[in-house]
Amino acid sequence: MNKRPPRCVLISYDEDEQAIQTCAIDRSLVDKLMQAALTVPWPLENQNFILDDEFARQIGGVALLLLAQTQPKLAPYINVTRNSEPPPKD
Amino acid sequence: MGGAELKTDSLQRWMIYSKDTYGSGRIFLTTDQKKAVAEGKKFSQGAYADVWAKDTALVQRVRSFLGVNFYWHQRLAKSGTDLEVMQTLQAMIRGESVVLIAEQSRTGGVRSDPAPKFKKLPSFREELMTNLGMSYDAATAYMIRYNEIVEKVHAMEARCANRAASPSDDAATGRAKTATPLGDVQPFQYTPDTIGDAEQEAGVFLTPAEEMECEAQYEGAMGQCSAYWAMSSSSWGMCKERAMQRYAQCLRGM
Repeated sequence: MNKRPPRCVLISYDEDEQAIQTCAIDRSLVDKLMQAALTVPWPLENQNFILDDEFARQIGGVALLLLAQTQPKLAPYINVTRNSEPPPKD
Repeated sequence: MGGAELKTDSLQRWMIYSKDTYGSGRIFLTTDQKKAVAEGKKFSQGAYADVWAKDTALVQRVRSFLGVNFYWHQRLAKSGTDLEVMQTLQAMIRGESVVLIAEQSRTGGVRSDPAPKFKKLPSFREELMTNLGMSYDAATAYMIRYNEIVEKVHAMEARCANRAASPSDDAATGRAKTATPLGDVQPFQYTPDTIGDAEQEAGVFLTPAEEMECEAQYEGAMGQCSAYWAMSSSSWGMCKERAMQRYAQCLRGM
């Protein structure tokens, strides 16, 4: 079996189609873009190496909220539970 | 390198210190220290350089202070005119590289030792020079730049915190709230490993337009961080830290 290169998952919102689009592409294609972007690591250790429903909810929620920041038409459709506290000052 | 007396009037003794010395080599002054610095600035702004320049003893003390504490002013300290010397001092007080502090030594009032811990902790300069191998020059430039960065980051952090606290506010409202004191804001974490070739970059100065671009980038980044905060508070810290790193790099022209 061929060893396949690792992939990256992209999630975007197509406003015309009113559809979230997901795809997987070779990670090598976006390595540089990720270095240039504000990339936030989610260490598995912080999840005790258990990637459960809650973890998936958080990742998915972040993806939707990040999309909505530049595509506000998406915002009204997002109905995920979020942290209602303001972020700490320190 | 300690402080020097600038002048003594009926109420107080005005002392000048390099910012480094006054802050014991740390970047952040206490609230009281900041207040004292602001008072000194006000006093200096209200003074006429040409009047001070006529006080020979005062000028001599300032020459000696500048020559000892700011090696790049040695020529000025030696051969500059009295007026030039005083104007330079005033400019440095205005820019806070020199602080002017009132001490009530004559009245026997409470004397606040301006540098109680001086020499006990390695100064930021020492850290830069020893740990990062910077030259004295490069460390100086870096520190000036670093202080500016820290100020900006704090100001923007406060702004972002305000905005995040009330997401429905528009940007203008968020901005209007920024006039809050930053006294309780945590110091920017000094992370030597993010500085890399700081010696080279320390000399980079951006145009105001470039700085604004960096600020816009930082605000955008903190906006992204609010999404992380909303879903996973544990990711917020990492996002914010990276946003600040990116901002600091941007301001260094990287």
